[in-house]
Amino acid sequence: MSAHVRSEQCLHAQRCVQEYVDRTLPAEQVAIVDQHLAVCPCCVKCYGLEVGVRSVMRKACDEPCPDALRAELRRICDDCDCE
Amino acid sequence: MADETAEAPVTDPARLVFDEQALALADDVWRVARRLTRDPQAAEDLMQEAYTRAFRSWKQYTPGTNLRAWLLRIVHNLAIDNARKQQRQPEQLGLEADDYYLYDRLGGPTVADVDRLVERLSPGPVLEALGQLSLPFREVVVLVDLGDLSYQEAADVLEIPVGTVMSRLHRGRRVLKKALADHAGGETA
Repeated sequence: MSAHVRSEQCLHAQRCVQEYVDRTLPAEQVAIVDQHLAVCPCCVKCYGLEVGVRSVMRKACDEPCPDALRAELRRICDDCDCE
Repeated sequence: MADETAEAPVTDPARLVFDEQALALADDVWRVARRLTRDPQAAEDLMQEAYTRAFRSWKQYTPGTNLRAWLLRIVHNLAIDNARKQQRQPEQLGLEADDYYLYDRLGGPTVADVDRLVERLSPGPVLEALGQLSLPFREVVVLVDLGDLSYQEAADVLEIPVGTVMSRLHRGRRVLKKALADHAGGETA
């Protein structure tokens, strides 16, 4: 199936991909991952796909609140007399 | 009783600020509500319920804290209540895709291939896969990826540990990646 050789560094990069992409990975870990990505095109692609799936989802879900509903929310707001 | 005879209702200025800020977040809250419900009508109902509750309990909001997270917590609680009422059986997550599944499925794409793939991907399969995730997984993906909450904020909203947020996020996204891979693989085959 796959010709990809999964080295220790690759496995480490995969474990970090979520936090890396979400920018919650500690800086020293980011440095280690960056070093690996510089020499491993395969992991670069995996990271690209990780970002890609998110951008596709965000694009797909980027629909604004319908105008009629927005007006209804405003009405609910105005009708609510609780102080 | 005496209040009813007052000449004009005096609205707390803080309430007005809250109202405008909450209404300004309607798009953000909608994005989340829409993905936690099965259809647009259910999403509209959820929004109306959530905003009604928000306006009624606005004093419980602490100014300066994340209002989006506060609103999404209300949406979450209502979505959970509704799911309980419908007594939906918790769906299975279904699969344990390997982290390299997408990569393997696409036969080792180049970086340029990845960019092209992302451009070409239709949203349908992702939305479908998202809709099929069981609620606990879908909520985490939706709150973090669409609601822009941090791990900690999502953990607070859902009242689960941060570690659970991270593992659910990881597994939920994996399912979405698999859906994309199956779709993309089918197209290129």
